Amino acid sequence: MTAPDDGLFRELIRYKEDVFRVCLGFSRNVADAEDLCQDAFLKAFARAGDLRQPGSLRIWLLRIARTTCLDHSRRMRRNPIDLADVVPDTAADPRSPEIVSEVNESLRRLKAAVQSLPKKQREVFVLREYGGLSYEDLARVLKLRPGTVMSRLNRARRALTAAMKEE
Amino acid sequence: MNENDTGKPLLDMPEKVRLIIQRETEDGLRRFRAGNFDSRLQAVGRIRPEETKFAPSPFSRVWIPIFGLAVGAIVIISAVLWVSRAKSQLPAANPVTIDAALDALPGFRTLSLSRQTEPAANEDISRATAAMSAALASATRSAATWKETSAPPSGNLVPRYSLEQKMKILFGDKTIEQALSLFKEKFKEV
Repeated sequence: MTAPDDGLFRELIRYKEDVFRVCLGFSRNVADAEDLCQDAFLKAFARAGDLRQPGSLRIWLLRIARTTCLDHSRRMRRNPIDLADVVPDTAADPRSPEIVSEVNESLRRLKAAVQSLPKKQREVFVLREYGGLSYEDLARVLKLRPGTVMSRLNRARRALTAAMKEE
Repeated sequence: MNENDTGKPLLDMPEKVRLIIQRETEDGLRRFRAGNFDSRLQAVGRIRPEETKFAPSPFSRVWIPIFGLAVGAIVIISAVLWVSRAKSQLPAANPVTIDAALDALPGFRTLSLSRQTEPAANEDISRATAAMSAALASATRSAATWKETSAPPSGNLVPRYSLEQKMKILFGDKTIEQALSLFKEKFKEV
């Protein structure tokens, strides 16, 4: 890999928050998400020669981020999610300890529920709910028909709601 | 967040879940923006090539030693095969010398002498063989005669011998007995 040239770097870095949000959805905490975001950008710089349509830079970048995150979650899936994984730093939180504790527990349950989703549903859910992608963009990133995207998202939401209620 | 782009009904996210995600995303972005991601990424992008120059990839770490071992094994096996082949191609010992050496052994000498001094037994065997051939020939002749004279009209070609004829063929001249007794004596000697 070579150091990215300034033009390409500026083009790609515009989408850093989109990439970060997707990475946050797939990962357990902010620190992991930052590492994944960095990995995704480094991969993108290394594969810049493969980019055929400069107009679809965002879609291409999100596709790389998705692959990077899925590889990472495959490695991490065996380990159950602890509260410490989800919330590494609560000292600076201005809210009362009870509220912080409740919020963090809800977050842990959500993370566990997202991680327990099947891969196809998980990726649709994260890209939509964290990344904020439209159905059309989701279909382009995942190379699926919009109808398929919607049905997977529906199943993911149903499963997630059920999982949150169970706990 | 729950608008439906294609007109199909979609399950709404529960408000609680939506709020958790929103809060998590906002907190995460706040920290991300404070982390100076751009300069960190540029620094890593510059450092990475030098790191990879000194740290071999996993592919190299695994396959180069395996390749080295394989080459070493091939060289050793080739050397062993070459040495064994060279040994097998050495000039063979003189067969006359080996023959002479074998003849010099007491057992072989006795055997060759006995071969030379006992032609009588061989003559007995050949005589017995000739007698047996003659007996078989005469039996065949008599069978042919019988066939000519008493062949059934049905065309059955299998010759039918009476018990007397069979006994005559087998034991009339006692040639088989004689031949077997000669063979028996010969094998006893050996």
